[in-house]
Amino acid sequence: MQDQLTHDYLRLLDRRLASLPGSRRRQIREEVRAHIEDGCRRLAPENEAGVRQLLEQLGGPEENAREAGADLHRRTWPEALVPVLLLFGGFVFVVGWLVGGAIRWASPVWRLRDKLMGTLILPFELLGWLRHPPRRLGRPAPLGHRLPHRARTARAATEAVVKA
Amino acid sequence: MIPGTDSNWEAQLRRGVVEYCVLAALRSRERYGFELARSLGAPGGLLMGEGTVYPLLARLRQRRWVETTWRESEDGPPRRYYRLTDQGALALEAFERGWRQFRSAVDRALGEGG
Repeated sequence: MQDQLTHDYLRLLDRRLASLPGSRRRQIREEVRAHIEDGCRRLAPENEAGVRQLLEQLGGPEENAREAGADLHRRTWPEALVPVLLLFGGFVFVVGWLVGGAIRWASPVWRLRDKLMGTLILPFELLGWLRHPPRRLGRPAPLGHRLPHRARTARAATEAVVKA
Repeated sequence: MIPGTDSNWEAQLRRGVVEYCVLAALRSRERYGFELARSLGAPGGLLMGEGTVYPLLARLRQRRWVETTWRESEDGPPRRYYRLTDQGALALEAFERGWRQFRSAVDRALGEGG
């Protein structure tokens, strides 16, 4: 719990300091972290109220970032893109896929496997759809009669498994 | 209130003088961050929050008014100690002269009004 409180505080501070040069940001962050460790060492273990008080005395991350001269209103570029997407996003379609893909590849959030799958899923679906387009959209075919090829294969496979 | 443009005279005054008070705290000996934060951040003290001392120290370091060394400490892990440089000592002297003049000017003005 104490670790979580500290972690949350530092993460918020990091975000608020985002507009500062890297070395200065790291220095401030490291010193604030050392301060919290120093303070915790003076407390009894598992003293959550003590940790909360320690963080309160430190002041809010906003306050500290403002003191550091950080621009609290600067947006990161995906955030800056949001108004544009909201205005024109409705008109774009392929571009949206490209932009989504680009953000996905640039971000450390996804693993390589996820990035590949995320990128390839639409082209493969599209390919499958082009090879076996649904006949007469909107009117369901009678079951078993006009099932698309893939579904027929799937049913045959299921039956084979059930029989075995 | 719009950040960075507060009209509170106390906050503005504090912002103007607090870095010299940090320098003054380092005049007699070197200190580490936590020590400085605690002594200057006491309730009713010079800091808005104890954490604001760190951006201040980073700025003073950038100006080469203070320098730092990593050293083993007696009661904990290695710590970053801050020390006043010659340049910092000069800046502090100049501030002290200016501050005394300023303070007596304000006192005079307030006295005349009363």
